[in-house]
Amino acid sequence: MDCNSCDYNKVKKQKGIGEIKIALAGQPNVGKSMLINAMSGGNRVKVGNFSGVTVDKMEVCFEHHCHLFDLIDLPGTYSIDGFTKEEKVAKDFLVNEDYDVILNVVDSTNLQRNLLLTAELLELNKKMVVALNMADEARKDGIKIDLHQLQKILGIPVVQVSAKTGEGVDELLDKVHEIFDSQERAHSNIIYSDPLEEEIIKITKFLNERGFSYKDWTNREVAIALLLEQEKVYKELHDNPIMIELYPIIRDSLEHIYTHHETKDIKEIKAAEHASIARGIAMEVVSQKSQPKSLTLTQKIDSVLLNKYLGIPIFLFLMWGLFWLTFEFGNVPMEYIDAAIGAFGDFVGSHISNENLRSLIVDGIIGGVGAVLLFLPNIVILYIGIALLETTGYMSRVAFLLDGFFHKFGLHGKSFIPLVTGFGCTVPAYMAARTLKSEKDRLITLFILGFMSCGARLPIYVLFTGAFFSVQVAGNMLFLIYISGAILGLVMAKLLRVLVFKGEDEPFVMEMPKYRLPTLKLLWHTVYSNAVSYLKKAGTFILIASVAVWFASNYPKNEQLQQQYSQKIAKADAQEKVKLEKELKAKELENSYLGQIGKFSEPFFAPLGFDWRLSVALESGLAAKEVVVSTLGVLYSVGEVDENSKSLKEILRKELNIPIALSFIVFVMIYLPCFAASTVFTKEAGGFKYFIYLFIFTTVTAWVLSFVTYHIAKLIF
Amino acid sequence: MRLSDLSKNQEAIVIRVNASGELKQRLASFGLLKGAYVKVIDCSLGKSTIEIMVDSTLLALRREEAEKIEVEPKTGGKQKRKRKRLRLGNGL
Repeated sequence: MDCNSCDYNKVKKQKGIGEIKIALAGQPNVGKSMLINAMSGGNRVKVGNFSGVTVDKMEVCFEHHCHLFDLIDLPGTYSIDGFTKEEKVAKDFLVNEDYDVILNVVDSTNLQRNLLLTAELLELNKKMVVALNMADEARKDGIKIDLHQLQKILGIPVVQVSAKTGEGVDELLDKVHEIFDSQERAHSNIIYSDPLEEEIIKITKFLNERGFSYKDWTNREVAIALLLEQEKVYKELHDNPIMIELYPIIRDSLEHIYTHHETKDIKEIKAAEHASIARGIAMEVVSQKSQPKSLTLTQKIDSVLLNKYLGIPIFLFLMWGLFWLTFEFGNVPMEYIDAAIGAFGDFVGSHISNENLRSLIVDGIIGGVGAVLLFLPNIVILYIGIALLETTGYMSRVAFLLDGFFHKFGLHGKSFIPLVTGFGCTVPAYMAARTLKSEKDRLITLFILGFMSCGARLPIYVLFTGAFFSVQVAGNMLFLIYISGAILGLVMAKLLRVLVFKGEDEPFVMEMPKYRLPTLKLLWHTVYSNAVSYLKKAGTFILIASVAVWFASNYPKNEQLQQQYSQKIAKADAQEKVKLEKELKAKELENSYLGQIGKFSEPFFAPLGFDWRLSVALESGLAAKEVVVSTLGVLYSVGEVDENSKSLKEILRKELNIPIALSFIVFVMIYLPCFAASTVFTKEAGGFKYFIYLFIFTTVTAWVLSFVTYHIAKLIF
Repeated sequence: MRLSDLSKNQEAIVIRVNASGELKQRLASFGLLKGAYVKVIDCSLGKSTIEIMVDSTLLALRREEAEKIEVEPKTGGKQKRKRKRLRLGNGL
């Protein structure tokens, strides 16, 4: 993977300085991403409090004491021997890639479990530094760690840090530096159980006698790797003649170890060994008087939030509150933004004399991008809510509460995480689905993720509900839209599980991280980066799309038609003039490229109540959902001749009716997510054929349900 | 007795994990293996999911998985006994 976050090769060339490549490994929820921010001083990685925020390995570069630090943030894993995608990504990198130092980030408040991974990492025999993160929290909890003793047992440097307060971060950087510069690699002093140790000594002795050496490893390290069946070592030693003699010895040793552990599963033996090592070390170096305060607090909060009867209502209330805030609060600045954009458009328009250019800039660019900007407040509020859910640790509780329910629909409690992320943006949601281990669970989740209406669809809902319902009703409608999307997703999941993806379920074993209050800084950065990427999208992709839509709706110019009408208009009186001008505009639109596309697809959409303009808006939404609103803006404002330019809402209210609006909302809820999301889906699902399935699946569902909605609504309204 | 049979706030020691490969490894990566101390913290409605504490880690399990873990409940209720070293690496 390239380093995208900074122009890494350029910097390197310019300064001619050495680089240190650091693999950052740690269990989930140890504050790894936050530590990166503290170390790099920048904020390029999103930080979260549930497993699965860092779904791919990420790279961050920065300079420190004339060295370029190149941090590779590996996904948080409890172990590197496991079966999940993240574990495979982490292991693959750690074993096969080239890097200088492993930086193992450890949660000081939960040392024992974290040491399980540390023990695994030590067996890789690389230069390594341990960062005891959350030192401040540990102190508050009354946990004392004997740093000196821990270093002695592990044999490698250990630094106490706090990513939150910045404590020890400089020392950590210096330590990494020092380790990188040192000639010798430190060796771990970990001692295994007696039976395993016996065999290690036996094999080490044999290797010593033969004068064997492998890389910079000690023969003890080779012996451990052979006994614990490290594949890579076997592969590399395969052609070495010494193996002929070694095989029988190893076989003997393994038999001995098997008998002692009462199993022949080396992975299980490894786990048991690591567990005793971790337990032993924790007992020796950690002293704490009573159960940590933070853990007690977490349990107290859990007793309310996970309450058998209150848990789910509390969750639903929180979600409802979030959507209510999104609508009510987001509406306040919206009016001002709307007015500002309108005024800006008028101002710019009055300074451009060329009619075509003015139309391009005012109607195409300002109108299109402005329509998207309008929804920034709503999106910011929604992102704050989702960021809060993620960073506090509540998300995992929700998975716990909902698994019983989700499981009935053939989904996993953990599917909840991508599904909720899907309410923000479908792209990261598709990627978050990687936390699901079983291929089937993952595919089902991927297929229904689009039904969770993403933030970009919000503008469409706000526009249509706002146009046809009062503010109070619109808020409830919005909630209803999101909920029914979710319910539809569940029903579809069950159908997929029964009809397409049959078979075993993934086990549900997940950590409930301690509750943590996110710092304002962290929250700000999450929301800020999301808002910026939304605006970037508005500034680039949507700008281009707006211009394209504007062009397609204004060209080709039909001169014959223009002449015909200008003659008529010249003859007509004032009243008729307005009518004729309107007619001309409408005719022109119909003959434009956009009109032709819309007309072509109109028969397909006609049974749903959509005219060609709505059809075109939907089609443009395949590029990005934000474009739907801007397209409607262009299409409807061009047809509007009235000097007192009314807002899009009012125009829609005049042109459409409630059944059409509802039918349109339903179609938007269900049909294919944006181009970017579709690309990610194809990648995550593992093939283009899945995209075809998704396209057919969503389009058919959207069409059928819109049809039903339209006809039922026609009977009611 | 199985982990799923424990009631809220009951403590126990794991004596056997009747799982294979993937699940077993996953449980082990949280420290949930033979000899581990567990405590049931909470259950969701209908006991479909169970929250337990292993060492100082809070863990959520589905009932199906909890059924695969054999435990021996701690007797004597609130007697606080020091943890025993279980098959510890010597010489640390």
